[in-house]
Amino acid sequence: MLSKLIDNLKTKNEIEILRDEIALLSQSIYQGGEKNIENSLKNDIRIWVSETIRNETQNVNLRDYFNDIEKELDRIKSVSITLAYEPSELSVRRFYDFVQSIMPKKIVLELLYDPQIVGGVVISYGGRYKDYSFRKIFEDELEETRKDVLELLGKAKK
Amino acid sequence: MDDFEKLLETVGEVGVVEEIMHSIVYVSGLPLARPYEAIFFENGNIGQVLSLTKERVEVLILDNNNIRVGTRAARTNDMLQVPISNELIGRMIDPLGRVIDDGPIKKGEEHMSAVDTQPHGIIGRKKIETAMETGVSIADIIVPLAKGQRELVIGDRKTGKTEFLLQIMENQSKLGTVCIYAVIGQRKEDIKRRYEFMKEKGILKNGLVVATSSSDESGLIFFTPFTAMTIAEFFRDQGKDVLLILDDMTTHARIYREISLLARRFPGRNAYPGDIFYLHSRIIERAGNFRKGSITALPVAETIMGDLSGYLQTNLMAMTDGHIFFDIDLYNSGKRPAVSPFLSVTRVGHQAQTPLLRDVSRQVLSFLVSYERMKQFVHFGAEAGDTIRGIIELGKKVDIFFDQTTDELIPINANLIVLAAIWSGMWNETPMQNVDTEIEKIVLNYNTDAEYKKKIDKTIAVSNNFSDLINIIRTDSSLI
Amino acid sequence: MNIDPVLIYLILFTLSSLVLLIVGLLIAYLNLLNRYSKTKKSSAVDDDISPMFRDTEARLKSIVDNASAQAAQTISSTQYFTEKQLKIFEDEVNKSAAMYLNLYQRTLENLERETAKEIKAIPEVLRRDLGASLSGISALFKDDVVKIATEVKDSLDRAYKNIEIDIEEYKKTRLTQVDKSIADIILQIARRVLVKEINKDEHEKLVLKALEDAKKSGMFSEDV
Repeated sequence: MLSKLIDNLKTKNEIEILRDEIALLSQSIYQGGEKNIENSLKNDIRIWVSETIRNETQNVNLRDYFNDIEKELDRIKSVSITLAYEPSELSVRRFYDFVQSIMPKKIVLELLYDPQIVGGVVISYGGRYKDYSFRKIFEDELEETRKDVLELLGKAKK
Repeated sequence: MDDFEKLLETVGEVGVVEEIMHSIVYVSGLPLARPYEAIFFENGNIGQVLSLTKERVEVLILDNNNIRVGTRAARTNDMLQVPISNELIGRMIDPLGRVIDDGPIKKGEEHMSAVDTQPHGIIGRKKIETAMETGVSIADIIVPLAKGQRELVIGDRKTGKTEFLLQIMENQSKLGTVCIYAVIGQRKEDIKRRYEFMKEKGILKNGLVVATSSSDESGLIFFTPFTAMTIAEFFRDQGKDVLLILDDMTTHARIYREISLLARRFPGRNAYPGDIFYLHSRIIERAGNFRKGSITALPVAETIMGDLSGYLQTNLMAMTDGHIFFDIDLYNSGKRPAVSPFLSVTRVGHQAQTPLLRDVSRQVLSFLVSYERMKQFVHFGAEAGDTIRGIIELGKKVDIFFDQTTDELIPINANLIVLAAIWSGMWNETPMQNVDTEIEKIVLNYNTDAEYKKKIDKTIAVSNNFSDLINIIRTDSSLI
Repeated sequence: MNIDPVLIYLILFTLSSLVLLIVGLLIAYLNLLNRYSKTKKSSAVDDDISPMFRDTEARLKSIVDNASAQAAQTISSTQYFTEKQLKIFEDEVNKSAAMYLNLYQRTLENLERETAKEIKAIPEVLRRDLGASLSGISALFKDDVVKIATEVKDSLDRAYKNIEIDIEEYKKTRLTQVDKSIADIILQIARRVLVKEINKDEHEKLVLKALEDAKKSGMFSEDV
C-alpha cells in the first residue's frame, strides 16, 4: 500500500518538492537524531506532509520510512503533457484523475508550457509521442492548401 | 527543428538524453530502438544506436555540436545512410556525405545508401581473373595484384606506404578505375597534401576522397571506412572497377577501442574489444570480384619495429588475400619502395597473371633468394668465385631495376623487357652507373614510341616463358 | 739513269706540297660554297657564280704556276745535277704540274656545274618547304582556333547549365524558406487570435479529448 504522501502527488513538480522535504528531514535526523525532527516538521515542511508523516511513523523507524519513500519516488513514472496555457489546479486534477484511472501503477503528470502549440496538447509517455496540438493541424492544412493560401495573401496585398 | 518534429510525428517516439560520456550518450525512451539505427537529436546531432538496455539506449554521437542532458532524440526507423551520387567524383567528403573541399555543393541524382551492410554472399561473386597493374615494378613482378583482391599494405610508420598507394592510384585512374581514398583520423595537413597531390596528378578525374581528421568526433572517424566501402559498392554496381584504399586500419581500431572502453565494454587483448575482428572483417569482406564489377581493397596497417605478429596485424592478415610488407631496414638502407620480396605474399595475384609473368615472377624471386644468400656469404669476407660474382653482379642490376621513385610509373611489358635484357647478359659489360640509364631509355621509348611499343608487346605476346623472351632479346638487339 | 736520292726526295717534296696546296684550296672553296648556299639568293645567283669560279680558278692557277716556278728555281739553283738531269727533272715537273692543273680544272668545272645546280635548286627547295610549312602552320592554327572556339563554347554552355542548376536549387531553398515563413506567420496570427478566442474551459476540453484519443490509440499501455 502506498503512503498517502505518494498518493497525493499529481505532478512531477510536486515530486521534486516532496523529495526536497524528505531530504531536509533526513538531514535533520542525521544531524540531531530522531528527536530533532520535530522542529523541522513544524517549521520547514508543509502542514499536510508533516501531519501525514506523524500519522504514518508512529511505530516505524524514521530512517527506513524516508528511504522507502525515496525509493518509491524514484519508481514513479511520469506522463509528459505540453499545453498552450497555464491550467488551474482543478484542471490539473481532472487531467491527473483521467490518466491515473487508465494506468495500473502510480503516475504523475509532467506539465510543460509552450504557447507555440496554440491549442491542444502534446503527450509523451514511456518513449511514445503523440502531437494533438493546433500547430500540427495548421501545418498539415497548410501543406494541402498552400496554393490557395498564397493566392488569398496575394489578393489581400492588392 | 522541423525535420526533427516531423520525425517525432512519423515514428511516434521520443527520447531524452540522460547521461553524456564524451562521444556516447544514454537516452531514455525510444522503446522500439534497434541496434545500428540512426538517431536524430533536437540540436541537429546525428548518432547511431550502439546497444540497448532495459531502460536506456546507448547512442554513439557523430557530430561535434554541443549536446546537453535533456535534449530530445528521435528514431529514424532506418540504418545510418549517406547520400551518394556520381557528383562525388573529384570531391572530398566526410563520412556523412558532406562535402569538405572548396568546391561548390552540387546535388546530382542522390541515392541514400546504408553504410553498414552485410557483405555480398557467395553467389554473385566471381573468380579473380584480371590482373591489376600497379606501375611499380617490384609489385607487378614479385607481389602482383588482381582486381577484386584484398591486399594488406603493412609496415612501420614513414616507410613509404602512402606514397606507394598514391602511385598505384595514379596508374589505375589513368586506366579508368574509380579510385577511392579513405583517410581515417589523420592530420589535416596530411589530408590536404594528399588531396592536392591527387588533384595535380589527375587522380581525382576518376576518384574521390573520404576524410576525417584526428580532431573529429570518434564516431565520425569510426564510420570513414564504412562510407568509403558504400561508395565503392555504388560504383561497382554501375559495372566499374573500383580501387579502395583504407589508410589506416590501425587508427580505426584505436578509435573503436576508445569507443568500446567508454561504453564500458569488457577489454580484451591489448584492451581492444572482443569484436575487433568482426568490425574489420565485415568491412573488408565487402570487397571482391563480382559479376557486375570489382572492388580491390588495399587496407593499410602500421607495425611497430617490424613486428608482423601483433594482434591487429595478424587479424588483418587473416582476412586479406596477402600482404605487402614495407621493411624499415630496407627503407633505412635507401631502397625505394622498401617492399620486402621475401616477407610479402599474394595469394590470388598469380592466378591472374599470364604464364610468362608467372614464370618471370618465380625465377626472379628464386634468384633474389640466392642473391641474398650470396650477399651474406660475401659479407663475411669469403672469396667469391666466378659464379658468386656473377650472381652478385646480376643481383645489383636487379636492385637497380627495382629501385623506383614515386614519379615513375612503369608498364608491365616494359618491366619484362628490361628484366629479360638483364637476364640475357646484354648489359654485362655495361658499367653499373649506366644500367639505370639503359633502363630509363627502354621505358621512355616504350612510353613515347608507338612502333617500339607495338614491337615489344608483340614479342611478349609470343613468348610463353622467360627463356623464350630472353632468347628473342639475344637474337634481336633492336628490342633494347 | 741513276737519279740521286736527294733529287728523288726533292721531287717528292714538291709534289706533295702541290697536292696539299690543291687539297687546301678545295677545302677553302667548299667552305666558300657552304657560306654562299646559306644566303638564299634566287635568280641572280646563277650569274654570280661564274665570276667567283673564274676568280678562284685564276688564283689557283697563279698559285700552281708560282709553285712550279719555285720548284724550277730550286732545281736550277742546285749544283749537283747535270744539265741533262735538270732538263729531265724540269720536264717531269712541268708534266706533273700540267697534269694536276688539268685534273684540277676538270674537277673545278664539274664542281661548278654541280654547285650551280644545287644553288639554283636551293631557292626552289626552300620555297617549296617554306610554302608547305606555312600552309601546314596555318592549317594547324585554323584547327586550333576552331578547337579553342568549340572548347570555349562548350565550357560556356557547361557553366550556364551549372548556373541554371544552382539557380534552381536557390529558388527551391528560398521557396521553402518563404513557405516556412508564411506558415510561421499564419501560426502566430492564429495563436494571437485563438488565445483571445479560446477560454480555459475550452482548452481543458481539448486536452481531455486528446487524452481520450491517446488512450484509445494505446499510448498508455504497458506493453511496448
